[in-house]
Amino acid sequence: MTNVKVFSKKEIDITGTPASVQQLNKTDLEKLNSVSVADAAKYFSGVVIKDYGGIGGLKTVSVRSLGANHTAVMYDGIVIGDAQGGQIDLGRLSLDNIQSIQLYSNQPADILIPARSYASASVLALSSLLNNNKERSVTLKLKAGSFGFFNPAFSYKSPVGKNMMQALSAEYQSADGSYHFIDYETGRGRSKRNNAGIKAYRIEYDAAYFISDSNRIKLKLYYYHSKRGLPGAVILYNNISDERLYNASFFAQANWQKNFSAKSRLLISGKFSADHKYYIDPSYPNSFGKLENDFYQNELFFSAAYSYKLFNAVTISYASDYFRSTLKRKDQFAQDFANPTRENFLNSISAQFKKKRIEMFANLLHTAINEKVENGDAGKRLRAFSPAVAASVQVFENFPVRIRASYKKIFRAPTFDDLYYTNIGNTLLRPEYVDQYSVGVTYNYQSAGFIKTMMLTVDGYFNKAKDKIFAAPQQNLFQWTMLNIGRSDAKGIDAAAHIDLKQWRKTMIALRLSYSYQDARDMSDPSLASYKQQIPYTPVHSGSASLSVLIKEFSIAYNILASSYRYKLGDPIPQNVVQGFTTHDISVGYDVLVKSRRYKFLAEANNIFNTQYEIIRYYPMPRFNYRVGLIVSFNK
Amino acid sequence: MKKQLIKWVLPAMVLLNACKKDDVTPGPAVAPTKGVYVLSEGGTGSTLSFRSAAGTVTGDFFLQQNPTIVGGLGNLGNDAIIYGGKMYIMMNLSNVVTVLNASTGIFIANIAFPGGPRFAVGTRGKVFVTAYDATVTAIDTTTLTKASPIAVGPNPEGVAVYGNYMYVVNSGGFNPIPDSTVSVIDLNTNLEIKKIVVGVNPQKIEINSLGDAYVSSYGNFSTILPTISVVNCNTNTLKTTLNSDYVYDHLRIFNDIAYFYNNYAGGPVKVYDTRTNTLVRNNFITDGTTIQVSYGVDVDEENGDVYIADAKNFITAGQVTCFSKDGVKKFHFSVSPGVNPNKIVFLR
Repeated sequence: MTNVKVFSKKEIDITGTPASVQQLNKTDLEKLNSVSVADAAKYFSGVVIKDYGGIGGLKTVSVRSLGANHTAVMYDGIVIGDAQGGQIDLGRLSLDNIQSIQLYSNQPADILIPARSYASASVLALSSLLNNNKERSVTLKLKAGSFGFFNPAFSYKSPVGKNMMQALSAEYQSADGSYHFIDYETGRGRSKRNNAGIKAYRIEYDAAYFISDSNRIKLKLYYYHSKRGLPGAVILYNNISDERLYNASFFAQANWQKNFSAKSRLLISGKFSADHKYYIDPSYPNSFGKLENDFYQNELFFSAAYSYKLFNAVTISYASDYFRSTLKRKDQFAQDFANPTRENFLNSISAQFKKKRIEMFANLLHTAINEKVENGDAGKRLRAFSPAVAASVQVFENFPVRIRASYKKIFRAPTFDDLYYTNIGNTLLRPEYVDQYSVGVTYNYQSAGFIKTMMLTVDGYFNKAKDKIFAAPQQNLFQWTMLNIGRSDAKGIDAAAHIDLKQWRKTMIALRLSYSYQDARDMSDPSLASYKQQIPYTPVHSGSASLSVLIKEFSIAYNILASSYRYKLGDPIPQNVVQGFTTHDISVGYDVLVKSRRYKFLAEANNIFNTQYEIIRYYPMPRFNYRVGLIVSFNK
Repeated sequence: MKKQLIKWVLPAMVLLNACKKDDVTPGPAVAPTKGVYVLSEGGTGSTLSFRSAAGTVTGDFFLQQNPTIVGGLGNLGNDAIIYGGKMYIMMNLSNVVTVLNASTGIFIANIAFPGGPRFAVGTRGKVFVTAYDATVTAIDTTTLTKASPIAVGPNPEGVAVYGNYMYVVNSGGFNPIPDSTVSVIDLNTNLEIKKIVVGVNPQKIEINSLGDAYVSSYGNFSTILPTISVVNCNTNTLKTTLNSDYVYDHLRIFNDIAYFYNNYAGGPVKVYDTRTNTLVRNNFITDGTTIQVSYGVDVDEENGDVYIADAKNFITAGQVTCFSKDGVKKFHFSVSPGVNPNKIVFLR
């Protein structure tokens, strides 16, 4: 079963790619005391996770000062679509079944992927791929901790016959989430988050069928279900919190990769997804005595990509995607809702030049969007070309320093919420455009000495966003509406270092550092106090450090996250300051093999200095908390 | 849901009937220092600013005068009135009416209004407060206790008094189909005696000296435009609806002159004479001063100066500009850190 290796994702050399990429693999993730993808993504540079606190709280990602709608989240090679809000809640994506996370600023440098992977300003790629272990294995996991956190998980993997692998993974997560916080905003002292509980489960099934070494089919089924309370902002004198959110997501995706020859490769992908979101505010002061939002969203996706190696160093590819999203509303406010359907046609041509010391990538994407509605006006149809180029050069033959540069022009289409939200939506909206320029230096040092490997990357970037979509009052229409009025200029530096020391006796030490500098200015309206000021919730300095030590069966990791102060609104005045913070986490693991069973004991202490901090003002984050866990895996 | 959001985020401004002729206004508790209070509803926390007669502005006056109240004023201050030496601030999201000493800004008490207080009027030694739970409730200004709530229509907004009657507009703005009535309450019995049909989703009510109540309505934010309805308070019947030149959702009347404006759509403030039923001018401002969004308009009863609160882009510090009654700018001041200033109260 050597061909199973096709499944395993190689460790990416973060210093070699023409556009910036960062990666956390399974071992890294185990050290980061993380439950969800959001917790882990905080360790990437250039990233701000907007975290509303708690296990059930919304967590979205902003990369290089751009809004969350500009980052696509990809699961096993196919984008997770959300035409309604356009922002994926990373808090819902559990790390339990994730083998690696990559963050591509710009886009993946792969030549054989669906066109949609090129259609956003950055891509967060999650891989749950089966590893190349051909044995049958069972893993049982139980984690529990503060705030009633209870998280059993099960996974099973086995070969089926000679040419097939399959895996099943299931997980349950619950927490009452009612953590204590020091309420310095409203002066009530020690208070408790109310209505912060969550119950969620996830079931995932994967299968891979190897027809031959050069021909394989993969299938994935995914279901997630959650019920949670929405604790809301801390409001002076008002402790009422009873809003709830129910969510069910299903998707089935498959792809078929056939290599006709070493030069000629084909990838066909398809996906169907269905989402149901139900929100209720049971104390809403209307005649029903409640407010309900009941939305159903479906997406159908097809993609065909073909790549051909023209010469030794040059590969070209063509990818064509079609996807269709529909949104239906079924609550008491549904009668006039647009119930839109959006059809997307994406076509992309790409070229890659790859030699030992030089790598270049160029691609041109064409997007066509057509929209239909059941009520009212439909959003504008859209036709756009989006170019991207990137290059990386190792200047000296024997010195592992590379210089890289990239440019990409891309947009995010208005979401269904932007276009059709009752009374607010504006069907005349244009997309939000971003020009991204980036220049970087990388250094990849390997030696037999004290430092085994050291990878350093420093990238400077300039992002110019225009036609940013904001809610604004509109003259003469007598309504608030979404408008393309925002502009912003963001200059920044992302730096990262990964250092692995030489193994000494049975001790291994690794260090990961990241630092981000973001100078992101609002350029929208010169008449406002916020003009040329830092964009709200964007820290100028932020960073992380993670030190891990492995001594025989013991592993210890120490993680630090830090952020400078931010402003909650555009005016740079003391009253708008959200204080900077630093959090420190420790985890200890004991890993032992007893008769082919691997036992791993885990203990995590988070926020060990009991710091009270906020990422979003009036949404206090948890102070000290802990988790303990046991993982048992056995192979047969 | 967004229509409701609008209503939470962009509440109307109230009319102040505290000085109406039928009021029995108790004397002030201490000798007042003259000045102007500005209530800003805030992006998250509300603020109360104060500009003294000498022109000194304190952005967060509440915090300065009440440093031990850590959380500040609370959330979503919709309206404030001074009545009998006390200031009453309707804190809609915090579900309280905050009572201050009007002269000093020093905190006296919070009165719980779980229904979410909106607007208030002072009359007969009481302050009547509308709340989203379809009620209007009197506060005794001496004991600061609440009387039994009076039932009105859904999501009441503005409130005004004329003679023996109190008029409460019922917006029903949280319903898929909004309300469009004004409840008439007999102040002798505290019972609703009648509902008068006005425009859809009514917000504000102001009454002139003839007993004509002007009611502004939002409409339904799409097909139905804002309107101004006129109710005759002497007969409690609908008198007329102003023509399509008057598409306004907010208004303020002083000395029988109405100032019409749109509190989130922006555009000029229109001046109208309610005694002669004639247009005075299309743009109140005559010297070319620009206001981005007139979020609140109030008139200084001492000299007729008109104060316009500008919410700008709703996420930056607001500004208040004072004009003479002829529309010529006198001065302006920022209410920073206040965001979305919506109510100016005069300490005279």
